[in-house]
Amino acid sequence: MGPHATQGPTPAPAADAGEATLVSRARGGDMQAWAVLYRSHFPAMVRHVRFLTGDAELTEELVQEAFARALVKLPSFDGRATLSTWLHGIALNIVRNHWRAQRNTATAHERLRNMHAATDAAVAPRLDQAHLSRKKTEALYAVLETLPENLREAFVLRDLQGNSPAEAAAKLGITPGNLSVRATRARERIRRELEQLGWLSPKGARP
Amino acid sequence: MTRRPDRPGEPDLELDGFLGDVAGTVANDLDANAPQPDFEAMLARAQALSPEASAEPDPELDAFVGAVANHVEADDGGVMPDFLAVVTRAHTLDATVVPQSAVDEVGTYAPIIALRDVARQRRGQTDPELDAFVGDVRGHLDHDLARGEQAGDTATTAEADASRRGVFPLAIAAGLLIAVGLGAALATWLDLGGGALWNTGEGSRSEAMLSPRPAPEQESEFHGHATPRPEPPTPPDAAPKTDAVPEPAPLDEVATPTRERSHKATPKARPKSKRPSRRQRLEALEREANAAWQAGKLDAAEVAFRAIIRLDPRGHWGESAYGELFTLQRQRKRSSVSLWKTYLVRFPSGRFADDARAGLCRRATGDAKAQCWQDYLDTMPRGSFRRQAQRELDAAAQQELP
Repeated sequence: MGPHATQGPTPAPAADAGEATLVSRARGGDMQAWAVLYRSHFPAMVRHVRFLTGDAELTEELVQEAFARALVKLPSFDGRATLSTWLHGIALNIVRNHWRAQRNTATAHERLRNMHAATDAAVAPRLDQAHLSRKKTEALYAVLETLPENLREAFVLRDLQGNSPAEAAAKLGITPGNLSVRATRARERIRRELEQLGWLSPKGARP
Repeated sequence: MTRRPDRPGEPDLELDGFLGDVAGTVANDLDANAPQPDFEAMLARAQALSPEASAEPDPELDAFVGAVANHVEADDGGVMPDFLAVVTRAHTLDATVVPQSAVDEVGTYAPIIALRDVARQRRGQTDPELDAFVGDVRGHLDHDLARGEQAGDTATTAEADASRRGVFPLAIAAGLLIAVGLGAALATWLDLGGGALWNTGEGSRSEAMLSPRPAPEQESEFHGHATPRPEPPTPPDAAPKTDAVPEPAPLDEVATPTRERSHKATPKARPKSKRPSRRQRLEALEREANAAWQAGKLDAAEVAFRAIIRLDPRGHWGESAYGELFTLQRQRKRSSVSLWKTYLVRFPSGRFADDARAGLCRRATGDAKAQCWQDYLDTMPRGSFRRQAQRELDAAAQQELP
């Protein structure tokens, strides 16, 4: 579906025996073991949160918070899921909490309207490639801000991060069918908004 | 269809007969017109029912989303791991699970640092042609700086002025002293003062990241400018005090090339050849700094990095040393403000300028804070901290509302 559908997420370290030992040691208060786990899972967590938020600085804050909360919750980690899945779940909840704290639909739509003026289609062709990519990124995340979070996260995990439906569904704790429904609805709404912003041609005008 | 024998209630033979007739008819009809299994048809129908499959292909949107995904993927925003911050935060969340002793323990670890330069290379932002060009320019500047260093650092401190007068002979002494193992004393003597954030990159240090550093050495006398400086180093012909150095630069490494060159040198050049080149001195100092750092001798490492800055205040050696000092200061939980300021004076658009400016703004207070963030946005409209800058300015504007 998405352009990145064949590109899986950065693989988290396998939950092998070595990791199980580290987790066990970390649960016993061994900070060096936790430091090793932190280091090995940090890049994937950054990627996960970065795609969800689109904001590097915010990512740094939220990833730190996710690891801190994971450290506190580690005694309750029962090993049914992999550590990676468990960490990603904690991170997702933290991102959701952030979204809820920031939620202001009116502001999000206002921002989108302002963006319309800033991304005049006539201007876009004159931008250099890097600037253009940045503008596109800002536009997409501004649109995502206006979506309900269930659609937003389905779209991000499926289309932006490039998870398979099964992977994305597992991360969100929903069925693959449900995931696909949400991602498709999200795409429809995103297309509509991007058309209004002038980034995409109207559906009827497409060849 | 037959009535189940275990069905409760009165038997209804009439209904049973009726249902039996219908069942027989259906069975006969099935026998005559039984559909053949058609897996492909079933699959096609299933795919048609799948919301994803039924969605109309949208290559334009896919291309747009792909561009955004690539952009986000390539722009890691310099997110740095900070294990100590994580554990400190966890401690504030639940001190029973993460006690202070855990925070203290992690504080003794070497920092876990993402190397910016490595990240840049990973993103394919290297440019051999530009590197070669910059290398040429750097060589030219190195030459100028080698002359300029004889006049000392252009810092306006009286200290610098005082040292400037005797820098050339001292620089000669410095190289020789480093070579024979008095690097630490010399480095202290050449020290600047200041503080700072990111490692620019030694793999060997990364290997040691998770090892608790050895018990810290006795705090040295180094505490920045206020510290009384040690006596100037012993003249080069004096007996070297090799036990004063964390890891002395091997004499051969520095001296051998010089000796080799001296055989071919003209008589005029011969006296100069005894002096290690500026690059050799910088390399020796860097080795010394890294060895000290890896050994947990943070004071000695700091002294050596500051000596590098002194020798190459505006070059790439100096800038890298600033980066190391930033990391070191962070590890030691010391303020980097003064170091950020001197760094920005020398490298207003340097590798760490973004972080240094943001660091200063974060520590500013009152009106100066908003002004600092406004300056940040004006100076670096595409900086990594632009969103924070905007948030800070928005918050400041809100506070001003009646």
